[in-house]
Amino acid sequence: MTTSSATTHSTITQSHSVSSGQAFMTLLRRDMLLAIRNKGDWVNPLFFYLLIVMLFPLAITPQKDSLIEMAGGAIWIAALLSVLLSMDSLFRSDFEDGSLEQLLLAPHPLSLMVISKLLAHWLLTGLLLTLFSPLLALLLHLPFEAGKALFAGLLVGTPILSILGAIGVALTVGLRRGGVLLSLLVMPLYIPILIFGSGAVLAALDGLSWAGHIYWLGSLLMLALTLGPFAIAGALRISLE
Amino acid sequence: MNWTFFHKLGSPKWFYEISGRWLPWLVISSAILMTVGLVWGLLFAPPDYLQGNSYRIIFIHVPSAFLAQATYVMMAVAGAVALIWRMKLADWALKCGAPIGASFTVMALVTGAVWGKPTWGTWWVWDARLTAMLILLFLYIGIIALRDAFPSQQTASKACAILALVGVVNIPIIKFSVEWWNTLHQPATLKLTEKPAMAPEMLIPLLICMAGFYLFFLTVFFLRLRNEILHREQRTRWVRALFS
Amino acid sequence: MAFEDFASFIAMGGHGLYVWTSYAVAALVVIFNLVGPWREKRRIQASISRQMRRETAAPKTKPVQRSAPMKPAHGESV
Repeated sequence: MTTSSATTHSTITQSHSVSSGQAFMTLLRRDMLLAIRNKGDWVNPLFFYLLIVMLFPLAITPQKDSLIEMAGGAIWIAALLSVLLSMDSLFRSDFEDGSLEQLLLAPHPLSLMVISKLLAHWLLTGLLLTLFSPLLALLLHLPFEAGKALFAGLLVGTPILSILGAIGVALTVGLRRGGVLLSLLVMPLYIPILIFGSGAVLAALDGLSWAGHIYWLGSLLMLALTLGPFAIAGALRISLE
Repeated sequence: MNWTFFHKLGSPKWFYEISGRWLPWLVISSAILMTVGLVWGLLFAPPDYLQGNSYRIIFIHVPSAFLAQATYVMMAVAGAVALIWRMKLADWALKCGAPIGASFTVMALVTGAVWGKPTWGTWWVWDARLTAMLILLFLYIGIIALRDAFPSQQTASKACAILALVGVVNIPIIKFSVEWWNTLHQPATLKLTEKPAMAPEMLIPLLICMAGFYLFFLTVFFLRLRNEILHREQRTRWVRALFS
Repeated sequence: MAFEDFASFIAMGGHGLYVWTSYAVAALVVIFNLVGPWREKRRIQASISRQMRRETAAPKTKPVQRSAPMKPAHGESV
């Protein structure tokens, strides 16, 4: 936190002495450092993810065939929920200690700063969830090819989950009871990603080509990356009015 | 292009007066069209060769499904106008559209499910259109819930405008993905409303019903918008003049 | 006319339950959309006339109202 508030203050006083690129990197480093120090932010969503996947065999059946069939969907639902759960930490502490307001006042494009924050967040949640997915695929007896489809889908899909979630968080960050409302706003938007992501796994299980699903996720990611930061920046400005 | 119309639209007083003049005509024409269309559809249109008489649900299902989607798009356009030109009236239009659109979505869902029972044999089938309609209902609920959560009206309407815009970008993606998911999982043998070509004896009453429902939407939308104007402008002189 | 008598119209070829349930739901939605704004209008009208009566009954508040800017603030003060 120290690095960022120092940076933003100095940029205001010395007017444009820090380029936007430098500010981007500083903010990224600061957010990563903060998150790594505050272990709960990234360890808890990870355990939540593993826990939800564990519930599926317990709730439905431990039979191998049924597990294989639902593995893709189960892991995707777990990833979706734990990204949603972790979203609250994206702006909350910055909102409470006032550094979010500094970010808005800084002479750099807010959407760029938002991308930096999103990148830091994704590296510690979405990417981590993706890296742990082979382990879960193993637990649910997913064949290797389907596991690859799952991994590729999560790699491309979790950034979209972060971006869409961030729109919801930016809209609700100023509210007391943001939690359930956030899921209500964001879940319907997550549906296409869930469909393409778990669809890739199912296609791989059927021995079909699953690249088309990943391409779709890729184009959705491009769309989210181009429009999302503006929506998030606009929503933040409204929330901090 | 003449923009005075657009600027006048921004004036609640002007809209209140003009909508008051239109309202009787809207009420009469929507009542006539809905009566004619529904009586025609229920009594005079021939039964469907495949579905028998159960297809008569089409005369309320299709108009409500159309309106449910059109209302959301209208709200998104209003949201964009409110954000860009800071037009009060557009803010209020966004607010007034939500309950109407949500009620039409519920109507489309329920009539679709009831129609599914004689057609597919179950109350609910994960059919692409019904599923997309269900997701649309959640988009509406999200907007209504977001507005309720804010203590300040002004912040709430801006937040809702952004959410409506994000939603309207997502609606085609959702529709496409749901349709894709549907064809992969269970190719629907019999779609409720899709036919090679609808016979004119059925199509004409359907079109009349749709026109009637659109006019009905305009009627109740104006009623709500006029209430909102009275409520928000109650301290102005022109509203007080109405009551003295 | 697609039906021979009233009974067959109600029966809808055995699908009467479904058709009439749907139409009942449609009627409910239509009524909801008409009654909701109508009651809201009565509530707002009552509140505005109550407010105006209060102001004429207690003229002390009037100068305060007059001293407000010529173009009154909208919306947010409500």
